[in-house]
Amino acid sequence: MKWLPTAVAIGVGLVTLADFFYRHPLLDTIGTAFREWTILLTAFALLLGLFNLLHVHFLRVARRNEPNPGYSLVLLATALAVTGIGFWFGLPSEPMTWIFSNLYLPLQGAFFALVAFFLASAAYRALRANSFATFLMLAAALIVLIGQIPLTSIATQAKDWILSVPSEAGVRGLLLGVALGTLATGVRLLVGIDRPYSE
Amino acid sequence: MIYCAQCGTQNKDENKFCSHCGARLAPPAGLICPMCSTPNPVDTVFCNNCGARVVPLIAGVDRPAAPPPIKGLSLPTKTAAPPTPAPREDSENWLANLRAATPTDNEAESETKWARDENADAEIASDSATTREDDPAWMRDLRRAASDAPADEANQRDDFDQPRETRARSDQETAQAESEADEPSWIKRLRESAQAPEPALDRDDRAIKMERAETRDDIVDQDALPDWLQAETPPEKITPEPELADARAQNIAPLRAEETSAPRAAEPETRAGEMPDWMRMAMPAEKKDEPRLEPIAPEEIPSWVARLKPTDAPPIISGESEAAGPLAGLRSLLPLANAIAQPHAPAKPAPTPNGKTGAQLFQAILAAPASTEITAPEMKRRAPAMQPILYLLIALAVIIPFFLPTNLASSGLRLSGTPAAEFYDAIQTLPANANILLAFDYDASVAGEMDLLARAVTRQLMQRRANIIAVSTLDTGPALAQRILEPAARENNYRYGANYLNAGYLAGNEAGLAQIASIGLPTNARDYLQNQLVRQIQIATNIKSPRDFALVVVLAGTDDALKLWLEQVQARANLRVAAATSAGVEPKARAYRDAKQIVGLVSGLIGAAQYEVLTGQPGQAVVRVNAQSAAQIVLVLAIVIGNFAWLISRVGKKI
Repeated sequence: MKWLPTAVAIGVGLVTLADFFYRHPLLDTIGTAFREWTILLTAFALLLGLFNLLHVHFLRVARRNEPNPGYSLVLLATALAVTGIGFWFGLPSEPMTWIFSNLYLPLQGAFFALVAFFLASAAYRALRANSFATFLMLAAALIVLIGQIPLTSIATQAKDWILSVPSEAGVRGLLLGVALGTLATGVRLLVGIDRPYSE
Repeated sequence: MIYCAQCGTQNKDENKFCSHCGARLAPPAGLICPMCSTPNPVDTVFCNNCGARVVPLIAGVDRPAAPPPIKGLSLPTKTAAPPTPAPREDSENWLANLRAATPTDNEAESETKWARDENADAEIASDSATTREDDPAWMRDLRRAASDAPADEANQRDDFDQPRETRARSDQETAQAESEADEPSWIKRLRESAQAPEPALDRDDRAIKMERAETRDDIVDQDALPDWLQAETPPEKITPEPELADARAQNIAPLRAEETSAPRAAEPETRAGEMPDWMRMAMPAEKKDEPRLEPIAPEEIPSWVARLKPTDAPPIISGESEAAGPLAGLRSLLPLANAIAQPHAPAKPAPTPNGKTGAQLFQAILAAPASTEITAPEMKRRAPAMQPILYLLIALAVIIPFFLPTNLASSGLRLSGTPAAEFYDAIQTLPANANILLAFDYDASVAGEMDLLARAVTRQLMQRRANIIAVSTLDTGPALAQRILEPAARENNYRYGANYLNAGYLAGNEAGLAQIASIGLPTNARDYLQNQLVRQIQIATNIKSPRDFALVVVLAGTDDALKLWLEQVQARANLRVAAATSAGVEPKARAYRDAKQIVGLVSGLIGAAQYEVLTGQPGQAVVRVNAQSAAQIVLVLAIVIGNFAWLISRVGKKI
């Protein structure tokens, strides 16, 4: 029965691919059903990830030899509290909105704001004109940084040129490479060479 | 070339199976390289092909080049496999065999000195009788016949009771059988004639034969051996019968001539016509120069024999038998052959100078008293001195502009011809009551930047009286959307369900977006506020297909989110898409904008400030642009100063 998952994967993939390229009532119906199944599976995977996270941290608390079990304890307590509030008051509700706006958002924003300090420190230490290549990188970084400041139009135009010409060329190369890799991976899945579902 | 044993087909050397019949070909003789499988000669230490070592190296012993094979001794010339500790059972087996073969005390005492000397003589004779590998086969055969000594007598100590002649004959037959395959046909015939059945011997013949045996021993032992070995020659010899002494004296000289020179001299004349040309060219010179086979010269005695020369050290005297242990029941020295043949532990490597130094150091450490205080390692971390200063400067640059009533940075905002202006125009040209799909695809980490963009765009959309349906492919998106939509709706008198809708979380990533591209809105989706089916809400009843959306506005916090919308919705349903992204997404989003996949692009805090200015309602974005600009100026100065300091230090080091 090892052929069954492969056959299902190839069949579903071919039908979905055909639905992408051709407009047909039967293909649309089947394709829509497949996509809805996928949405259900994705939601289930999200729930599974939540249980896995809770399980891991519960084990960290249960095992007394794990380092820093206090963080896991905080996570379990917070998850339990938010889940309980959500079940009790419903979603969305005023308590849940307050938790989201006054706890979740500020913490996330603060963590992301720290990146600015780390980037500044890293830029100060790493951006050195050791060679011609690093000199080019340093010059481009300085031009983009100065061009972001809405003071001089010349610097802004230089920044736009760097982002539109050399930077965009590199980005397009990356996107083309990713597209080719995705295409190759899709073909391998469709012909059954790659079978991640059976591993 | 390798010939198949099954069909005789000629195969290449590297073939493992016959190319004709498929039979496995016999592996080539010699040492097979473990790395490249190339066959090498027996005495090879390193592979001729790849240079890998083909002879195992004993740990700790720097093995020199392979020693030359010892001729005349039944020791293995090929280096043995890595020695492994001998199993107890094997050791006991060979010891049991040896114990069974060990004579009793009375029998050992009855063993005479001449018997022991006979063993030594036999070993030396076998050494001299063994042919050299580089000699021609016929010469080896002749030399073996001339020596006429038992080659393997050293390994056949249990045959002492056999007559000397019988032993000599059996050894000669064994040697002939071994070299029979290599010798020329004329030598075979010569041997057959020499081995013809002898007639019945009379008393004179027996005396002559006995003398022949003694003479052969004399030739080898007395002439070839050094003085110290001649001294070990057994004084007791088989004494012939008295009446045969005269016959012996008369026939001794012709017999020697017959044994040595006569057969060799007759061969080229009698068999010359049957010999190959190369042999005929090679043989006369050798025979003319050597009319008589000389015994082995003293210079040719192997070094191992020289090492056997007795010294002044007292001989080991056989003592009492072992009473206990693995050697119980044994006495005297163990046989050399058994000791070598049995696997034994590897030789203990000699200590190297470094090893001695290390051992002494380790001993000193062990002998030193234990330290009670463990001092922390003095690892002074090279903390960059500029780092806290840089952090402080950036913090000040971000905070101070909020308290200064200045619009220095925001006053220089360029508006015309920018991507933000394109975005603004795309919304401004929308017809009234157009259906807009607004995607809140950013999370809380970039909410400080993206909320400003979302507010500005939502405000403009509501000013244009567009019907807004908000979705999100992130689980936190609906909550973020509600924070933006609700205040804007209050400002613009928008009614939930009628003018705008928060359709909630769109699960499935690509699959969810493909549903939108296929049927407009998912059939089973429920809104965020009322948990009703989206399809049953008033604003969504007008949406039958994706074509009913006049514009899709993607608020993307990551480039992956924007890419998903462009790949699954824009490319599939050919919808107009405008993107408002964080500053980090702008470099990638520019590629889609230049490819006309998105009709407008506004990015980061600068884009939000531009949009606020464009909509005529400057807000938080304009204020924050000042702080961001000040922080960027500090960062640029830090980078420039750091490079100058680095250059100065570099120049100082060179000077």
